[in-house]
Amino acid sequence: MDSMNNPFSLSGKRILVTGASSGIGRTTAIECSRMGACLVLTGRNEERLQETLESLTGINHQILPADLTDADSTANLVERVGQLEGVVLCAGQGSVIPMKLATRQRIAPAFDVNYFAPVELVRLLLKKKCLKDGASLVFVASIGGINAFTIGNGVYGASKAALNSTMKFFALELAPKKIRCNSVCPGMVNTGMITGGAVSEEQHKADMVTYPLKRYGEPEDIAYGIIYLLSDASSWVTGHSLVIDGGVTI
Amino acid sequence: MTQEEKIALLEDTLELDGGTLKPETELSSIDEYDSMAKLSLIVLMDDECGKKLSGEQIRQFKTVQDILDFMV
Repeated sequence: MDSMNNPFSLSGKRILVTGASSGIGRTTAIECSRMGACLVLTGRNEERLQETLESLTGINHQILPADLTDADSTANLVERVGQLEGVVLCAGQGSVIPMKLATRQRIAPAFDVNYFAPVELVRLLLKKKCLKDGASLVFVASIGGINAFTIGNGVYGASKAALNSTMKFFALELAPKKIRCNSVCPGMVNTGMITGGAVSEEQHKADMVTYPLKRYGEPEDIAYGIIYLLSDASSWVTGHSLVIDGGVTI
Repeated sequence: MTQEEKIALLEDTLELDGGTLKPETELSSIDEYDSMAKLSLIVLMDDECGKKLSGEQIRQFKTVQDILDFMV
């Protein structure tokens, strides 16, 4: 396969990545740039977005800080984002709440960030005609709430299950424009979302052993799946949830 | 919060009758102090005390007093 006709290349594609200031979003942006994409990075933390920008390969990338839970901020981003061949919805928030304590007020933040924000962003991008025909949208969902269920993960899981479901409806509605919509469903990935939280190091070590491939994921593991879904190599793939989980949900 | 209020909150979280917990009570002796109770503790610390409680910190708690000390 020569480099001129590499179907996995993202050369010539302009891609918006949310949550690009850290974790899966940051790594995805970096790996996309190495595959030739032109990146537009968004996130709330301008300093960390700048760090991501400096790690990208190539030129003509830009940062557009925004808070996607804020209507004005999101509208402002969409006004300035231009035409896109790809969007990766990585911005997300963890949540650990036993269902018996899950008041509407406690559920709301996870849904605001993990569900309402990405759905509203996509809706506005469509309304402002920012997505070119043949574009690809990739939603970062999770195995949690879809294939894997653990105590305390109910609210997070529900928000990701909702996002994954909606992805399929977007896939149907946008197919006439050849805009593909897919999700990646990661298992546990080594990012800031899992450290210093409700699960201790010891618990993580015990959990890792339950993975057939005996490790947690790295952000790159997820980024490569996202790249496939953004690229022309997945031209006949839409409405699909790509599980990337070291085999833990087998 | 007073010491009494903190203990009452803990008993409520662990679904124990009032008066069950004493500051010196060892957590390992409480059947109800299971993994779900620990997750509930994290939610309550955040809501009632505005403090982030991690899984690592929970591992350090040995007695009821340790939890009370965290709840400023």
